[in-house]
Amino acid sequence: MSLLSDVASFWMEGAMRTLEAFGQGYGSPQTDPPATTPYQVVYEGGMLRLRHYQPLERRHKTPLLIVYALIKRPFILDLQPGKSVVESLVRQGFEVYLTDWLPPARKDSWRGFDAYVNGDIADAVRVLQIREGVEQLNLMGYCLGALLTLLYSSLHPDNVKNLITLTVPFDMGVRDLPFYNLVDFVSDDAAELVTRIYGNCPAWMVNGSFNLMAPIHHAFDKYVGRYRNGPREGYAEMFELFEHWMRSDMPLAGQIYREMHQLIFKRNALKNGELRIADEVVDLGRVTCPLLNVVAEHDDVVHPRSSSGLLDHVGSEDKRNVSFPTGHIGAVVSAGAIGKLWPQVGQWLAERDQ
Amino acid sequence: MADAKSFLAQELTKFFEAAWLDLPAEAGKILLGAGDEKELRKAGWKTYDAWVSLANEVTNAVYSDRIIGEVTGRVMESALRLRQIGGAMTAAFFGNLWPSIGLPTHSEIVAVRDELLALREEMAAYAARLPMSDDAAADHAPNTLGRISESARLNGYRATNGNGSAARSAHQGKRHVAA
Repeated sequence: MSLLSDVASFWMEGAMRTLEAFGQGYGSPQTDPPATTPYQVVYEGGMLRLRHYQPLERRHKTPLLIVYALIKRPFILDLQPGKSVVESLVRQGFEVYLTDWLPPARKDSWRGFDAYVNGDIADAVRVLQIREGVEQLNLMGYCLGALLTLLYSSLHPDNVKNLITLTVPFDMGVRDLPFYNLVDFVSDDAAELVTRIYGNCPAWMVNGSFNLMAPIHHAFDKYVGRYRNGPREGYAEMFELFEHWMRSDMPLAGQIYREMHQLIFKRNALKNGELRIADEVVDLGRVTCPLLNVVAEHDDVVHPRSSSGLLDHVGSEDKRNVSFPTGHIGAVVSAGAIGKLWPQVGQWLAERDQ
Repeated sequence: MADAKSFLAQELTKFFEAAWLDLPAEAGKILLGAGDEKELRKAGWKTYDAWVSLANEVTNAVYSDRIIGEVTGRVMESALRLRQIGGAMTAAFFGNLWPSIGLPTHSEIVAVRDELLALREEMAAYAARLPMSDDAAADHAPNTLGRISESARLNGYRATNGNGSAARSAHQGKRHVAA
């Protein structure tokens, strides 16, 4: 009987927390759990706060700016001691900066790629150039953040020393993940209506899309998993933190939501060389810095084939795909990734620090 | 689609094997007194895992179906249109009701809030221009970078591109450093 009652109680708890998150509007900086790695906010402007994680002993000259995705809170990159990308990089002696995107309000619905890439990221880079006294930075982006860093690197190539893209949604013509078939049937008019009604794409809609990608898992199976793995040390705590992150969705500003839906997902404009930002065509051939493209082999959010084709489209001579046997989120939290992938990424950066 | 069907068939076979062969076999052994409860539990979880895989494949097949896709797209659009009409009707109704009982409308509250924000920004800009004593300047030194950053933000982006539509140079960041 303990199986049924335990699973029912985990499910109930999850449902209550989801309702609570719905009531609070899902994620915001106020709802984050305590940080694992200490940081200081060194700049705030536009829709971002820039966090600085200082290493005990700085071993590399070029600072690293991590651009996180716009749709959930960034604490997944610093989840727990020993399960933190930020902690791993700081321990390797990197000066790490992380974008903490703020949730857009209705008045921010005009924000599109131009505002985020040429505005907020460009301003953050400028602040770091002044603060660190360097002309170029290492850039790394995760998921939608990787797309933003890729766009930035194409539009401002002189400011980027090395680029790391982690699970980047580049070729969205790939339809190997069945959920993306549905996107084809959501008309441009529907996307316009969403922003006309709500201003931005609401957090509950972002959360719903993630849940629809794996409905059986989110509705039921994860609670059974919680029961089955209950005796494993640290599992319950990790489960709670992870669930907290799953409910940390933020609204997506209206303009960038429309651009993502209509240009990136439906027309595959970036891969086809048709994406324009502020009247400038995004030419990936202008990305000439060394590029490390990290692909998660079992990614069920961005299919590996959507990421791996990037190398054929950039102008870099020093470029490499690193394929790691993990999922989309496992790439930043799994013990395997923290133990093997991130030291490899650090090594790649260190070799190109001159 | 053919691939989806073959995956579905595979998962269905696995599920039936687990649910109709392995699980009853282990249960039968227990009834005959030759079984092991641990093995029965293992067979039970195997059946559950096969059911989850099958359910995932069914979901994938549903998502890949053209008709379901079209229906989903239309339902979503219709729901949004209904929501829009509902919103417009509510606004029209309450828009007339509120003033009649002496309460401000939403747009009036927004207008007051915007005015308040503008006033706050004006005050902040005015305060930043006030002369500072040497002591006060020393106290404020650590904030210098913050102000530089803020001014970079205001000058570099907002002032030229506040509505997000005007073109800007792709090399602005570089130019700023050079300057």
